[in-house]
Amino acid sequence: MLELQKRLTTFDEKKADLNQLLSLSRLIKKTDISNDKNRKQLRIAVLGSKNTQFFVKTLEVLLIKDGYIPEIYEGEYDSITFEILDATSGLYHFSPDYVIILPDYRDIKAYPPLLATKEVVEQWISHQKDYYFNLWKKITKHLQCEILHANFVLPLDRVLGQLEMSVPYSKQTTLAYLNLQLMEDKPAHVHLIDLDSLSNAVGKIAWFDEKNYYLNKSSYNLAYLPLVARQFLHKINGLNGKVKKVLVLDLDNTLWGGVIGDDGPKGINLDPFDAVGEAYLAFQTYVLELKNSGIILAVCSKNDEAVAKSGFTENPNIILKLTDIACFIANWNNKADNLKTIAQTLNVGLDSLVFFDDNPAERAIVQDFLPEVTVIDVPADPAYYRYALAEAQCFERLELTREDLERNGSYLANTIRLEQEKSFINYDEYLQSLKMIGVAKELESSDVQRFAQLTNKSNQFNVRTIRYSVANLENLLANTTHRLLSIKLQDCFSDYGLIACIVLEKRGTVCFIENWLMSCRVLKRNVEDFTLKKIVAIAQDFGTTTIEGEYIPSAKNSLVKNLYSDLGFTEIRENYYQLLVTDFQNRPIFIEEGEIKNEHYK
Amino acid sequence: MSITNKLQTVFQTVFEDDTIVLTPEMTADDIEDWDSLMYIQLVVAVESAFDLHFTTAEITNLKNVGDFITLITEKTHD
Repeated sequence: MLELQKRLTTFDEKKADLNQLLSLSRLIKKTDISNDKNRKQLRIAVLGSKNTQFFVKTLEVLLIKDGYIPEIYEGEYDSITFEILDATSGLYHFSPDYVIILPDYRDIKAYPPLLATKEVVEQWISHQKDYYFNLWKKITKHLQCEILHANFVLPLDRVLGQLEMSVPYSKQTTLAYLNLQLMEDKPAHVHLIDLDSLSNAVGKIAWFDEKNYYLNKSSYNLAYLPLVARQFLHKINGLNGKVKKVLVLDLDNTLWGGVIGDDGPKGINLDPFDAVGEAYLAFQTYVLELKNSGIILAVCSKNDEAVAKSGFTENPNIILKLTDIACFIANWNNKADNLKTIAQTLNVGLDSLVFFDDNPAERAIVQDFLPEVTVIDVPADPAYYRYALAEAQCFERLELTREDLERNGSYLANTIRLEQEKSFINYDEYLQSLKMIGVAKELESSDVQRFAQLTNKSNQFNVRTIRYSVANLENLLANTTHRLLSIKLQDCFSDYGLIACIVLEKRGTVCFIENWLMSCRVLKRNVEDFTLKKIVAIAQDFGTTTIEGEYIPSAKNSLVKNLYSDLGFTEIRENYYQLLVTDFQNRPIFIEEGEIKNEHYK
Repeated sequence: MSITNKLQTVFQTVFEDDTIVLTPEMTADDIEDWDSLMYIQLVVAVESAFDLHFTTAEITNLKNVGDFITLITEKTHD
């Protein structure tokens, strides 16, 4: 166990060769980690049309490195169809939480004929597409699982030369089109893994290894196994709530060239007509795109605050504005402490932070003191900052929701709100001034994705830390013993969207709170009281007389340790609480129940 | 280092067994754990250690350690 831990901490899959990888894989086979309580168990089935043995071993190593206990079922060689269509196959006996499907372009035996019309090509594509959609449907009929499906890696062959991408019937065109079609109307629990773009990034000449294909049916060069396995690992991490939310940036020689304290706000290099200045501007543009897609930005710089901010207000070329930064820290304290402050201010865990700083010494300090923080290996040349950030793939999200796009606005509004909070003497008065509107509804199908996302991302306000997939939720929705309650909130500053999820189960005369979680952006706003009122209403509708709730401690949820006792529940055994419906007392709540309005903002 | 010695080091690394001593007649039957997967791993490691590439036919025709040594000698003396 110790030996394994030692080897895992020094193992870098980006540099490891096949020998190191397989040696680690053998060590894993010899080590018993099943008793490690901190690890989460995963059941994964891998079905491929080509050799999957090395892939399975690599994936296992990466999963163990990331803190899981994986149990992997490897389908027979070239048995995607058989394993899925035969209801008695090993796949269904194994009953996995995740099914990984690895097709290969060589699976396709017949393409549209040359000179085929557009209609014939479209027919062919819809036929191919239906085949995979049917396989997914079949899996879902028998298993409640997430499906990770690799798209087709387009081959190097170009029989028609440049015509390949100029005519509708070529192999390249039809396969590219098929890859796009797999996305259309795809069920939410099927996740496409874009191996074709990975092969492009690597370069297809390096990617394919024809010799090893003929010798042992490897779809690609074994040197890229870790890279391939990582794509699946990211998705599995996302499905398990391990996502990064905040990008913390240094300023001098990170967002601009030069040192603002010495060069002044106009002297720093953001010159669009200078090669180096252009590189910094391109990095800022990329960071802004991340922010617009819902990643929260923070600044952590060793500077005087006023001097640091002058770069944003006085340099005419700067792309990022102060309003893009949700938390701005410029002082002379050490960065590890500052990162803790950033995490606290934004109400996220340290493991949600990604740190980008050109100074290797600062990076080393942060990595040493805060191992949970992801530290980007920043290259010396700013021209490659974008790639370094992109290549680390820290911000792999399961899906993009409306809330993601509006989140930055609400974090920023939070900062303004905190300012306003200071000017009120009485907190109730402050809450009243926010003119909050709450919408409590039984979960609607349009919100299922966001509900699932929130159950996977919320760690602090989460009483039992149960994660739900879209498939789980759809199952519960169809179940009469369960009710799923969603809470949305709006105030005069912003629309928060769906911010709380509650899963209730009728157990005889008891309404049991299977899980209750809430986004930390709306803490201390009475949402808990507002929610409890709704729980009581559902308990009555259930015909139950008692509400019971449990607190399961995790590494991160001490915030809700006293949630139930604060709300008037009685602790009947350790961490287990009860409230008689008749004992529920309405408390003053400053949230008006209603519908979200478009013109509610100041 | 002679080709045989270098090849022996590669074998020892791949099979994680420092006691392996190569002889020309040695085959997969003589080394525990030498299965088809290990064979692929071995070929990749030898190609990388000697900085050369075997053709598909060369790999399928390898019968024992002696063949390996002959082939590497031919390829490195070109």
